[in-house]
Amino acid sequence: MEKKSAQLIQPDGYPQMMSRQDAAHAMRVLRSAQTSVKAQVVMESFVPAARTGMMAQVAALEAADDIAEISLAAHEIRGLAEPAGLRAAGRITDVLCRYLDETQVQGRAADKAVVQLHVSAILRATHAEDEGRANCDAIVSQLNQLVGRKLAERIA
Amino acid sequence: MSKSKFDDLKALIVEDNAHMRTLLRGLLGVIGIRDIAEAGNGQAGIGVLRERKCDLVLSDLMMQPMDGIDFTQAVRNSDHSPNPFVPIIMITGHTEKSRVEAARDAGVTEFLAKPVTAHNLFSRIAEIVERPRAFVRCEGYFGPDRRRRQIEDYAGPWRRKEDFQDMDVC
Repeated sequence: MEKKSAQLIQPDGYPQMMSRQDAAHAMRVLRSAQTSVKAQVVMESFVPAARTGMMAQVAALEAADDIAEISLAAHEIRGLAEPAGLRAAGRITDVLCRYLDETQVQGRAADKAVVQLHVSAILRATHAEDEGRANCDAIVSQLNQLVGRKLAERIA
Repeated sequence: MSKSKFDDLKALIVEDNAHMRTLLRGLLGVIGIRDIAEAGNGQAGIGVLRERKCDLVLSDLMMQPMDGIDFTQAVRNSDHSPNPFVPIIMITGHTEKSRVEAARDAGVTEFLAKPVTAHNLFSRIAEIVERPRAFVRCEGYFGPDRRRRQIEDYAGPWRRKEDFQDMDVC
């Protein structure tokens, strides 16, 4: 068997972001209460922009022609929903994303009816804020059960 | 707050979504990083890195024409890369196992799943600051050591016949 070698370059052997002394001070900044408060302000100011981006992706989801386009939009929505304050839509999208990812791993086609059910639920949750939140737990639970049953089915 | 050691750092955000770039810029600004360049895709990101020094890169995964995987590989392996060791945090909503593995094998330093929270982003930066990893150069890979847990006093069992004979420590 041919020998293969690896070269290990320790941190002091390449340029670091900052020195060890500076790192200690930087960590205090990262962990400070003041940083948390400022970060919260930034996240709150991002809500309108996140919603704009989210709605664009939801429109793309609704207009998608195939599973690939749905998957692309769904994964983007998953990243934007919570910052946009649309947590219910985000939770439902997460179930869809996990279903699509797992079908890809298993090498099977995603069930179009299952996908459409999720898309419809995402659209409802996006446009019906308070109502969506109230029903979210039940909806997510049922979708999770459906996805679990589908993934457990033998591949024909 | 007194001047942070982050104030002197230069960052690069490689992300095709303008809203996300705004959010990431805002969060980096909270800890004092304000010298921030932006690029809308991996190719533009490579162009920025050739023009200016960067101490930290935040990169999306899904971009056109060059995605975050190809961008990371170019940063790590290109002969023209100005700093192949630059920390790269990949931030994406695409967390399928295959993509996470691809990002790891391209040489990202940290992986962060969207939705982005300040806590999660800052914890990744803290890892880079507090626990910088060794880099590995071997056939088919150059980047941070992909073995997360370093057990320094590990005494076996050893799995390969060639162990102890092949590692050149710099």
